[in-house]
Parts: sequence; C-alpha cells; structure tokens
Amino acid sequence: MRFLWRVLGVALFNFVFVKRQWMWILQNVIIALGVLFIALGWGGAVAVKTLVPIYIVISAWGFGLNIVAQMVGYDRVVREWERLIASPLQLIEYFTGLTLGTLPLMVSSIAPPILLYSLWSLDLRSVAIALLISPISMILGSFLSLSIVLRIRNPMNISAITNPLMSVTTFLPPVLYPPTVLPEPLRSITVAIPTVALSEVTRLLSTGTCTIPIQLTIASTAAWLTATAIATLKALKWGLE
Amino acid sequence: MQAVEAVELGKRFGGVWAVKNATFSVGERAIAVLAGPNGAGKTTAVRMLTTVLRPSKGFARVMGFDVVKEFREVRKRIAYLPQDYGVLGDVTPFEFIAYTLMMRGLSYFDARKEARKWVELLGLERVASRRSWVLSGGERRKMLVAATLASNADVIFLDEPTTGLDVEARYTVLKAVRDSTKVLGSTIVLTTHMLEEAQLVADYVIFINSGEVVVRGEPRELLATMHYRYRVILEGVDRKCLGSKHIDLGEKVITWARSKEEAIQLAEACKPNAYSVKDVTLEDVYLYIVGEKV
Repeated sequence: MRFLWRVLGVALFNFVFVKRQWMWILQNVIIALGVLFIALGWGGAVAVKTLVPIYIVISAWGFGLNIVAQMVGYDRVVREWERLIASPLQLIEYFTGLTLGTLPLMVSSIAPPILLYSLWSLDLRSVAIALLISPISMILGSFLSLSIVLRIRNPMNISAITNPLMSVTTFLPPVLYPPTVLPEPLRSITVAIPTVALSEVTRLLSTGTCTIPIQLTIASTAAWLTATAIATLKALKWGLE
Repeated sequence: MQAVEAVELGKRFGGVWAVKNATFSVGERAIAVLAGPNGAGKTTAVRMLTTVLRPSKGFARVMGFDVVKEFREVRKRIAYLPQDYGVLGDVTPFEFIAYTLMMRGLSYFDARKEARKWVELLGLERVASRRSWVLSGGERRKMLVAATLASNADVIFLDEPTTGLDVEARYTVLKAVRDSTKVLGSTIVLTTHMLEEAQLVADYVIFINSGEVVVRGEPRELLATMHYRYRVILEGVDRKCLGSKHIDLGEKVITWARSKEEAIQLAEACKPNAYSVKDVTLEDVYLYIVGEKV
C-alpha cells in the first residue's frame, strides 16, 4: 500500500505543474487539431487514417523525450533529486509517479485526434494498434533523452537539448510523410532513425502498407531500445554517486 | 546507540578532497550543528550521510546502518533538506507538505492531516494555499523546513536551513527545529555558517574547516576549552602591543582576555581609539582555533 501512496505522492506533486500550466495542454490540443486538419485538407480521409496512428505514436515519443527527461533534469538541477534519494522513495516509484503525473500532457495530444477519428466512424483498430505501440515509443524516447541529459553535469536548460532532438527525430526524417518521398539509398538508411522505424511498424499494422522491410524496422527498434537502455542505466544513479 | 556516526569519512572529487577525515558522532534526539565557513565541507559530509554521495574513504552509520552497504535501511530513517533547494513555484505550502509526506508512504488523508498541523506549527496558515512563487523567502523556507520536519524521520538533515532569512523567520525555523526533537524525538543534523545560531540551538557542535573536523563538543565544553572569557575589540591600535593570538580586521583587531580586568589592562596598554569587551561565544572559539587562517 505504501508503494501506491508514494507513487501517487510523486504523481500529484508533478501534476501540480501540469494543472497550473494548463496552456501547455491547450497548446497540445491545438497542435493535434492542426495536424489533423492539415492531413484532412491535403489528403482527405485516407491521409487522416494514415497519419493519426503515427501521430499518436510520435506524441508518446515526444512525451518521453521531452517531458520525462525535462522533469528529471529539472529535479536534478533544483536538488529535488537529492531530497528524494534521502527518503524511502525508490527509483521505480519516482519514475512511475512522474510519468503518471505528467501523463495528461500526452493525453491532451492524442485525445483530440482519437475523438474526431471515432466521430468520423473511421477504423478504431488502427488507433488501438497505435496505443499499443505508444508505450514502447515513450520508453524509447525517455531512454534516448535521459542517456544524454544524465551525462550533462549542469543541465540548466534541458529543453535546449530535448527540443532540437524532437525536431530532428520527427520533422526531418520520413515519419509524418512516407519514406517513398526519398530516393532509394536514403530510404533504407532512414530506418536507423528510431522514429522512422516506429512509424513504419505503425503504418504496416494499421494500414497494411510499409516501404521498409518489417524485419529491419523491428531490428532497429530493438537495437535502439537496448542501446539507450544500457546508456541510461549506466548514467542513472539513485544516490551513492 | 549513536544516531549518526562518521569514522575517518572522506570524499574526493577528482584530485581535491572536499572532506578529508571527518570523525564524529551524534547521540539520539540531539541537535548537532555542523558549523564552518563556506566551502568547509559541511554539505559534502551531509550528502555522504544521506546516501547521496558514496564516501571515498572511511565509513558512516545512521541509526546503526551503514550508509553504503545498508543504504535502503538508512533512507527509511532519514529526511533531508538540501542547501539551495529550489521548489517548484506552482506548488502551495499545503500541497508541498502533503505530497512530500505521501512520497514517504503516508496515505492521502493522513498526509493532509499532518500538512494542516505543520502549516499551523510554522505559522503558514495565511499563505497555505498560495503558490510558492508569491511567498517571501522566509515563508518559502519555512514551508521546506515544515515538510522535512513533518517526515517524522529518526534523523533529519537540514543543510543551511536559515541562510538568507530575516531574524524573525530564522527564529521561527530554529524554534520548530528545537520543538521537533522534543515532540517527535528526531535527531537533527543542521549545517550553518552562523555560529550564534549553533550556540543557540545545538546540543553538540562540530566545527569543520578545509574538509576536516577541527573541534567538536557541547557548546559549553567548547567555550570552556577557550580559557579566555572575554572578547576584546580594539580600534586603531599598534599590533606590537598585542599577543600572538589576535585577528586582524584592518581598522579593528579582535583579541581575548581571561578576565574583565585583563581586558581593560590590555586596552589601556594599547591605547586604542575605542574598544569594547564582550563575553566569548562559539564564534570566538572558532576564530581562536582557526584564526591563523583568517
């Protein structure tokens, strides 16, 4: 029972920030709706059907990459990290609570497209698939970001690292657009980018089509998960540094 | 059993020893003050005792548990307020205390009940539901101290909890610290560079300088080791007339005398522009011991 209260304590403490900075939630809703309308305007229902599942997976990626890592970095800078180390709270409780407390930020990104998607009576199976891939996407995003943030001695402005990382991994590579846009040598190389691999898996499972062989995308995701997990766990010390 | 025990404790960062050889112990239900100038190694010592840092040498126990080998047991029994802790500006004092207690395992309802009690104890009722960024520095610090003391931990570590506070806020915090040992039975380890504060609140004082424990003991014991009873401050005097033990402050000089008569004789012999005589304090003990470095 104490485990649950401790997790809830961390969650409520972090939720204070989300609750009082509600403009962030509004911003997420607006961006999500904007992306949806862009897809609808240029490609109609087919584009919406293709893009929404990927947008859900990428939102989870952004949540892990940006929010989780930023909160951890912030806690380290303001010495909240030390205050919590010197308490009965364990690392797993901290991360679970932190994720739960800031989860509304991710929900605000994915709820509007899901809502409109169901109103249009589109296939909800692909949304369900995206929601299943999302935890992997979030964990991978967190690991990648943490493996960098935790190695910086004084991460005063963590968003200066995580925001460009987010742009580089979502807007530039073929994530929100199909890899077929790129010439062949580049097309296969892009699978090395974790977001491309994740979006290709999502695209295959939700629409039945993909450009890059599925074995390559799974191998890329697994390799990234393993490498970033090792890099994060090596740098992640809950005290006794 | 000693609440805190450090034996030849040391921490090295690169080639620099932040704490070299700290040996001291603190009894249960006592208030121990780690005193010393900025950069003396107080915070590093506390960070080792709270399992934040791994000692480079020596060992330490808290409530009988080794801070490295049995760190989980130690963490169950301690609470720590780090120096320069920066609280999230959006949180209110009530929320901060309640959620801190939940993070330690209290239920939502018990945590709220305790938070209400500690808000009252520290005189934070008026600002309990205001966001902390609108609070004064003193109110914010009281909120942090309240949340730490409310933990009801066996050993509570407070790193410079009164730095930057006005007199009133400082005494409120010190009173809460003092009360918590009586009411809760906690042992408090507090760091400060303000020695009058140490004299006021401590059962036991540990002077640290340049990473080493210079002297330790109860305040009255430390004052007794001084041999001198009075501090003499002389203004505009020739240094030649003074003994070897004095602190040169430029225009003013601090020296010490065994009796009031000796103080007056000293003043008359040196013919200062002005002078004052005061009872010695822990500050004098510290200056007397490490004065050569001043």
